[in-house]
Amino acid sequence: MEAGGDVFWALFNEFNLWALLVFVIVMVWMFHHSLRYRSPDGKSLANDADEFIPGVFPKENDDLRMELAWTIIPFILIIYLTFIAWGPIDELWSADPDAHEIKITASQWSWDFDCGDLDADICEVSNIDVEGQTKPLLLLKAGESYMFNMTSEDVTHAPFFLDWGLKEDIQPGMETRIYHTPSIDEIGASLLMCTEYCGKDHGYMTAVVEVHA
Amino acid sequence: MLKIKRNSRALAILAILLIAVAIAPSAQSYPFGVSGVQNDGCTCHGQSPSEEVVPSLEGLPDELEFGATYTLNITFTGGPSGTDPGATALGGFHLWVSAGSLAPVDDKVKANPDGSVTHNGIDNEDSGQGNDQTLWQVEWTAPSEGGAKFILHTNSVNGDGTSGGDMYGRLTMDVGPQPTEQASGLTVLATAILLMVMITLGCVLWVFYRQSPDAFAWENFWPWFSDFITSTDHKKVGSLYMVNGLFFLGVGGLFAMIFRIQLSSPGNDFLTQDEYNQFFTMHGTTMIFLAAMPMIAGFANWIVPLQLGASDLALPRLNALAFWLNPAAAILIFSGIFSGQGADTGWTGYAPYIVSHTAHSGATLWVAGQILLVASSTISGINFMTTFCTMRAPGMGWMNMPLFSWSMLIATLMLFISIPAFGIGLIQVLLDRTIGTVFYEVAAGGDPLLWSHLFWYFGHPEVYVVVLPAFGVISEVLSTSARRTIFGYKSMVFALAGIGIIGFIVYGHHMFTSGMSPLLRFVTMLTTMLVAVPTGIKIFNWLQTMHGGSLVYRTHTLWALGFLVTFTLGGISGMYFPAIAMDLHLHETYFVVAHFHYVFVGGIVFGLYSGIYYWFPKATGRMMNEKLGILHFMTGFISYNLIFWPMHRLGIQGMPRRQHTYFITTDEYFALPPETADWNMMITIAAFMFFASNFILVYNMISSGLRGRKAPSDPWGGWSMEWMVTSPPPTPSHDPSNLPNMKFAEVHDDGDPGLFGRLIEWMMIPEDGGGEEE
Repeated sequence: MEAGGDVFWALFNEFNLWALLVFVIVMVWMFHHSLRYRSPDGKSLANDADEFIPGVFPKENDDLRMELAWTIIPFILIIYLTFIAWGPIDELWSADPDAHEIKITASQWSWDFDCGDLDADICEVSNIDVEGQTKPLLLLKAGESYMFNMTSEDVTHAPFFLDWGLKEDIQPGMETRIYHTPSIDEIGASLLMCTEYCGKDHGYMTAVVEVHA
Repeated sequence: MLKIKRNSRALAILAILLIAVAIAPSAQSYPFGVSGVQNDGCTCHGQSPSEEVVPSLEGLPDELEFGATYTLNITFTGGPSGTDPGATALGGFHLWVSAGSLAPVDDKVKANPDGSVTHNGIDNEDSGQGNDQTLWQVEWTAPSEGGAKFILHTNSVNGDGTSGGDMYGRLTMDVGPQPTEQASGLTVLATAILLMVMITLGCVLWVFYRQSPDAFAWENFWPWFSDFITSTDHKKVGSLYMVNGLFFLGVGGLFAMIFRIQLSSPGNDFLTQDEYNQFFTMHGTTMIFLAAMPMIAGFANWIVPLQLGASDLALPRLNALAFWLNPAAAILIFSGIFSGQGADTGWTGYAPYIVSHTAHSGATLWVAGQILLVASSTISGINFMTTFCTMRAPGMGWMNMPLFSWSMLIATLMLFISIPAFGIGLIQVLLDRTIGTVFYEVAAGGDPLLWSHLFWYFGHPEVYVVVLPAFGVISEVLSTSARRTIFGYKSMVFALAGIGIIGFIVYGHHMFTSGMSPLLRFVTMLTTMLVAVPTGIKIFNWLQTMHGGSLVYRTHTLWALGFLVTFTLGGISGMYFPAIAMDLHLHETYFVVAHFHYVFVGGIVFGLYSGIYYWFPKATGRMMNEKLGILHFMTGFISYNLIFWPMHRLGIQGMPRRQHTYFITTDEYFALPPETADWNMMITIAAFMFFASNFILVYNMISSGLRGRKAPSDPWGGWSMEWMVTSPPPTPSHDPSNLPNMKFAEVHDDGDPGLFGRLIEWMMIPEDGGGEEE
């Protein structure tokens, strides 16, 4: 298993490629210029191209074409990155009206899963031992579509579905939702942690989500 | 007459304040930390243990057999018990144990929900039960490993049915192997901070002594010191800001060191959860509000009037007031943590947690301190805006200001527009926490997202407020070191202004997972992507500045080049968050921690270090030691990257931030890979290296400031006006009767002010009182 869902990794790999390109350009440029245009002995101020005198605004040093170039080219890259980041949002936010509804109620510092009247095969809640503490275990079925309908009894919490790369805050007095259809690649149990700071036992507010075939 | 009137008015105000303090609920420390009933005793039988009552606990073995069951006899002698033959009760007891389990043998003893045992029966009617005894029996099952601690209270009662005259005794016993005593995180912190205060005071004394060792006399110390702390001179206030900022940079580092020990291995318990939560809260608060902001204010104080060719700031007394609010705020914020109940809300102080009863009481002090800091920032903002508008040297137009001044102008504007939102939120929280208003009480109809909106509307521009001055420093340093005019001065200014504008409409990217409106999330995704464009312009302009120049390798140049590496990385990793589909995974993980430390440390701190090496000769008149400077750069830069680069990996693997520990994958479930533990250990070691490397800077500043080579007025060959005055600058910094006149290397025909300049001039009241027509 691997943290982060398919959507995350597809975007992440593409972004890494562009990030690497930009970083390499900046580094090559920086090392080239700082070594090529260095003072002969590294200390002498004598080689003064623009003849700085205190209190005198120096000669101009600009080139409109270059400045426009590194305004427009990064702008195009940004538009492209925005475009590829746009598509997956639909996938994450699209509401499936036939999804099985599971209620999650968070309180300091525990999770409560409620399967409603769903079949035990599709949704079941039991217990599991996490480092000596009894925590809830949510059993789900791969290939089924789920909607987590979440609310909090006290303060802000956020379940982090580690394997799916999904999280959403749970607010008191509000209902927030996560939609997900676990794939067969996501079969297995993974730890669910709280990722919105909620007080003393925040770090131990865990549960386990297990997807079976 | 007038004086008496004024005094009585002041007394009346003081009286009103005192009454207000008395009736308003005040912050207090609750006794549910380390203390509790086991230490404080049975309040029903006296407030403190009595020596007359001697408890005894028998039946514990010399050699503990793990898992075995022992029968313990509890008894006591002394006290009023049995002195009255007609008494209905003789005594009672309460026994706690730290490990294993206690069980009653008969109905004279009962088990409590917390695992302790006590006598059964409390009143006169149940004669013959547990309250009528002086001897009880319980069974203790030893734990399967380790020893245990017992705490026994026995009550000797006179049996008159009231608690008056009763006494109790206390006994503690250990059995089996005991864990070695551990230092509490708070004790370590308090000791370290105390040590730092002493070192700082020692440094002040040493600086005073070394100035003239021969003429040293204690009588001279106080005049010298009080002149410093009561001064309104921008240079002295600037130095105070710098000392304040560097001190809290160290304190913030101490917090980080202590909780890095906690995180060095999974399942560690060096800090309790309560302590850990306070420590990361205070780390963030200290670093941003008590270290970065004062250091920037320190640079601005020192350099802006010098660069503008002004004699001082426009409003020197307000300047001193703005500074002195800082230490007051720091004391308020820290008094929370030393009460044992410091703020545990994270530096973001999210509501509704911050107004819930589970948040520590020290959060009230945290909020109060932050309000003082808001006041301080607002006051110094007014001061700088006025200075920029009115005190530029003759001939210096807006587009002739050095870039550091420009960056401070934009930063001040941003702070000005954003900080009221924070101030309002803080006042609401303070009222909620003290007088019971319900701004953030969700049950009463409060909006759970209101604080997040107010906070991030301030919080994101705040990031730019602290990073823009660092940009300014880098622009000055790179240009001077490369012996070239900054490439594209105008596009640099427009990029700063562009960041200043876009910075206000991106804050929603902190709330992609918060449940706010999807439309707002989508819009802030677009704007956040956009902010990379002006930032990119700045980086490319810096790189191109070196073209055709003659780069001088000094310590400040190295820090500036190091800044280019780390800030580029921090900027690039920032591009991963506006992609919402990625943010849902990365939000609140160590990837975020890595990103903003690359920006805050690799951007701001490196930029400010560069500024320290660059302007130190100007400020003190002494050159800094270059060898030590290069050592500082090498150790600092390498250890810094060793700390924060692996955090990207941890974040992608899903390690959440702000958590007391982390969970490694087991057979039952998938969590973090086992090598996470090794990475965390490496990060902790590198963190200590980075922390230590900063003392090279402190040592260098002190030793060079006292013994360094004398600095000329323009040691680096810069062009801006701070290099016109002597090092250190005279007071007033530029002679007010003979202000420098800005000259130009290239003459332009059009000397008239532009549109913006005319607008500002239109708003200004002419100095001669106005009304003079041309």
